[in-house]
Amino acid sequence: MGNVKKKILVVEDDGALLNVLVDRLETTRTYMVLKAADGEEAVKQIFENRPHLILLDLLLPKLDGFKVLEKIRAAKEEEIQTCKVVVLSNLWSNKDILKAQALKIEEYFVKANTNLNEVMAKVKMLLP
Amino acid sequence: MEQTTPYKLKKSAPRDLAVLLESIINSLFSFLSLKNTSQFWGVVYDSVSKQPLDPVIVKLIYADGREAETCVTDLNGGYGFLAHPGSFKIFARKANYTFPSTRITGSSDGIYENLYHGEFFELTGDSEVVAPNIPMDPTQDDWNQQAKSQIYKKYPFLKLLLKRLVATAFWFGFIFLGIAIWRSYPDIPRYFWAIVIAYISIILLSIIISGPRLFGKIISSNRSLLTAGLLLELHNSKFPEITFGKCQVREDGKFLLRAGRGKYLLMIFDARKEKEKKLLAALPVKVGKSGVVNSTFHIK
Repeated sequence: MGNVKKKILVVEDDGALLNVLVDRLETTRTYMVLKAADGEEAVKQIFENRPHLILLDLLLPKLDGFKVLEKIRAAKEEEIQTCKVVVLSNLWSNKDILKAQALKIEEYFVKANTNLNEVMAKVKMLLP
Repeated sequence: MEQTTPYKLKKSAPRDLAVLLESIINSLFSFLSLKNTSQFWGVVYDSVSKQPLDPVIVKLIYADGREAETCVTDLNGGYGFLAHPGSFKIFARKANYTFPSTRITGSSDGIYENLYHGEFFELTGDSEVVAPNIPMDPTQDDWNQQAKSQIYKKYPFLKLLLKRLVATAFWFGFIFLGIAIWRSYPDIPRYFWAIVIAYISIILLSIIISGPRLFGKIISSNRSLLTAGLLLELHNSKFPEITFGKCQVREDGKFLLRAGRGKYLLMIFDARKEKEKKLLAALPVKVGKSGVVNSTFHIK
């Protein structure tokens, strides 16, 4: 029996960027990649599929990224509550970063100042 | 973090003075709308609403189709590339938008100038920052853009429009001055000449003084240390674990490291050896209105 692939959920409302991120992750053939285009869908996927890592945008339709993070950290299931989250957002004010950090994130990437290779390197580091 | 500093770094004082002077003059010209200092970077925007777009994936592509660089626009739709000489084209991609725009096909739309529509262009000078403005046509409603318009009430394009109006008033004033001189000839009041001299000085200075430099540079006086490939990271003292910007230094020592206004810590790493990332130095830097680290740093 082969190794079970670790699951990564990519939450991004912009379809073009979502596809780029998913393609990059799938190219590695290391992970099972799930995707969600809004906050509600993300929460549903998290509770149904229990991903090992979440790449999370903050400005999202229906439920914003902060609310998604709050639901994750408030989950009864330890597996969900301790899930690794990497924020990938263009919000870069101290207020937003502090708010995200208080919800125990692994990394905060500012989209405009980040190369996708760095995101991939972080994912690889968190899910070796 | 390991604090090893085998190389001493210091900011180049003369360059900083020049940057400060340039900044003061640019602020004056910005006030007079002779130079658009609020828009150093290219802006990807909605051709209908004129609202900046984010996130847009912007690619700089070589003539043979290879990808030279890719970036994502910031909240203000801003982007830029530090490119080598050569032939390139730019491609922009965002959900619910198409590129190139078919609604706006000229080089200006009254708000934005220097518009780009997907054509090849040649770069001849070294280290040119490529950042034309890019209109994109909406194909359907985009949630992100609608949400942003509610969160951020102040659109940059309103500021741009205001600047245009002020600039128009400036030039109309110049024309009226000419007419007033012509009508009062030969008894031209002395203060008219003072105004003419002031006008001409401002116009000449706005032509002579260029905008702020949009890249930084690392110069090494140590021949054994090649600057090419050094890794630069921008951190904030409040959030040392967050990287606000990251880039590699080019062969000529130049780098493009963008960030929002604020004070940061520039970390310089030698990460050219596999599995080894050695901190060379960490020094405070300030990012101003230009949104880029544009100082010169000397490595001894």
